[in-house]
Amino acid sequence: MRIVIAEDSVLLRAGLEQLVAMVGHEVAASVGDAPALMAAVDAHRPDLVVTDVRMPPGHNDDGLRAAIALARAHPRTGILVLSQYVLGAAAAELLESRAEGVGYLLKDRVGDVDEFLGTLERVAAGGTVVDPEVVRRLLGRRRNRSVLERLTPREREVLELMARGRTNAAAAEALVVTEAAVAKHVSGIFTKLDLPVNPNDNRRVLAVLAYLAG
Amino acid sequence: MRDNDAETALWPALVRRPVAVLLTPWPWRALLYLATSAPVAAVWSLLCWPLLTLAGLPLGAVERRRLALVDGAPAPSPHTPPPPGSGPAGWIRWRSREAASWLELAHGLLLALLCVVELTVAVVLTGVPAALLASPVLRAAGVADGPSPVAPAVLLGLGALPVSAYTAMVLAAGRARLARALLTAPRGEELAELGERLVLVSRSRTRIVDGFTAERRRIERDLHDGAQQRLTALVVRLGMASSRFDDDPEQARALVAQAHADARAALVELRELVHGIHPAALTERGLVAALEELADTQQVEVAVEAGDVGRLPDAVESTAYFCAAEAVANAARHSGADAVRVGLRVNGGARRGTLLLTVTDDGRGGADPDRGSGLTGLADRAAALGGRVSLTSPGGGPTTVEVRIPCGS
Repeated sequence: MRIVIAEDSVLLRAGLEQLVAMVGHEVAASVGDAPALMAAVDAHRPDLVVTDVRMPPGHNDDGLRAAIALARAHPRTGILVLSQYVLGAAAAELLESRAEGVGYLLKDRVGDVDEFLGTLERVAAGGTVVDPEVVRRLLGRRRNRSVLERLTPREREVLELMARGRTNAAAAEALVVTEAAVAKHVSGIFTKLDLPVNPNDNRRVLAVLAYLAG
Repeated sequence: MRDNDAETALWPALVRRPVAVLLTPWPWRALLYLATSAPVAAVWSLLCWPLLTLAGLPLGAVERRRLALVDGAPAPSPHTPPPPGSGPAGWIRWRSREAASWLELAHGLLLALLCVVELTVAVVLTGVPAALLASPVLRAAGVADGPSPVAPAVLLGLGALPVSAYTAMVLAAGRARLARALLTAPRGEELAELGERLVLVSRSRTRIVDGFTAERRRIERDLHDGAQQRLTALVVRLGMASSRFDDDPEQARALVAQAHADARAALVELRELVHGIHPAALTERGLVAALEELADTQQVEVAVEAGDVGRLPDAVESTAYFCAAEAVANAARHSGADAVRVGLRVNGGARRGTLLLTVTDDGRGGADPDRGSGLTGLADRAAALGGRVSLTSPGGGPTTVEVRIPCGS
């Protein structure tokens, strides 16, 4: 897989390069600001972009703006946005730009190496990955707390794995249960949220998020 | 305005009828004002030249008092007191640097020329009518003689009286205006001066707050670029190590995992710390997004109703944010509210308008601004940017806190 990395911290950029090279991915380009990211993606047409949110030149959400522009301009390139903070509004904006092949993760998740490498694969393959923290935040909202109370602990775990972009099979493996059991929990979640059951793994993440963000 | 107030003394007298003018003291005061310029200039030039460049100071003081002749009251001094603790040398340095001192000196040099004209005018204006009126007496005494009949000369003298009076008053008024222009502050009234100082104070306060906000941003950026990145890299490296531990000495692996968890916990801590200093949402996405994020993390239901306020100056955004955070926290802590509404809008354009933040809760009300420092702190934050906070909190609720902050601050 060919990857373009955009991160203004030299230390973390080197870490990311090393990490993806370790498992045999090719780093097509590694840049430190938003305009360079746009140029690198145009030049290299990578399978995946991994970008920081806050970058030069504006030091605001330049990376996110670039990611959204790229998500629209390059439908076949997976976009994974890393942020030092989880902002529900930023996640929502990114997911609105494209429902598939996007991811929004807290930077800390890079430390869960295997999980992170799996996320890269899933986003490049068209999956949708949202940081569990976003889900946790949304469930923490007062108007969503009653929803949280309605879900069983196991259903909450499944919801979190769903948000991380896991398929039923992957979730079953993670929770050490059968795939059928996961499917049962998923339909339980959708019933409790009054949402129509959607067989598409990505769409259902969005449905749940849209419901919680309401 | 001061100019109008100051000239009330001469101008109203000037519009009176000739006979009425002659019955007021103002023609005499005007004449006295014109006539005393020469002795003042003479004494000044004889006595004050050793003061060199500061020679204008005593003259200015005398001239401002002399303006009372035509203004009714002495003019205020344009000088500002030197900083406390500066000795005589400091006083001299301070005065030498003041434009007012140099203007007073210029006035002195001008006076040296003008006083001759003024004295001549004063003598002519009193002398001509006096001579005409006195002509019968003079002729009787044999001091003067001539073919002209007496009666017309006396009539002419009577006619000259108001002409002299008006001329003296107009000249004195013009001369006083010149003195005021050189010897008083541009808007010399104490009130205007006070207003000017207030402007300075509020400006300096704005600078302080700007500095504060800049400092906040700097700390935030430092932590973001420094410690946090370092920790993140540590997490990455440790994670890599743990995934490559094929030789698996079990205990070493467990230790690495522990270190990994520790590092991550530190990262979370650091993130929260940074958030408290200056929320990332505020930097990256502006006030409305930051308030929405604030709302998401509250124990009570918080609804944010914001117009399209766009990005505002840093100091305004952060002040409004922390005011809102404080007000929401107060509502949750003290009022027993279930729901809080945060309203945000800009009245009159993002550049020069006013940001209006309202925080309303459905709690029990009866909030007392004098108890607890929450509301005072809020008012201080707003006041530092020239803003204002008002509180309405009738018993039984609802409580509304209104914060107004000028956007141009």
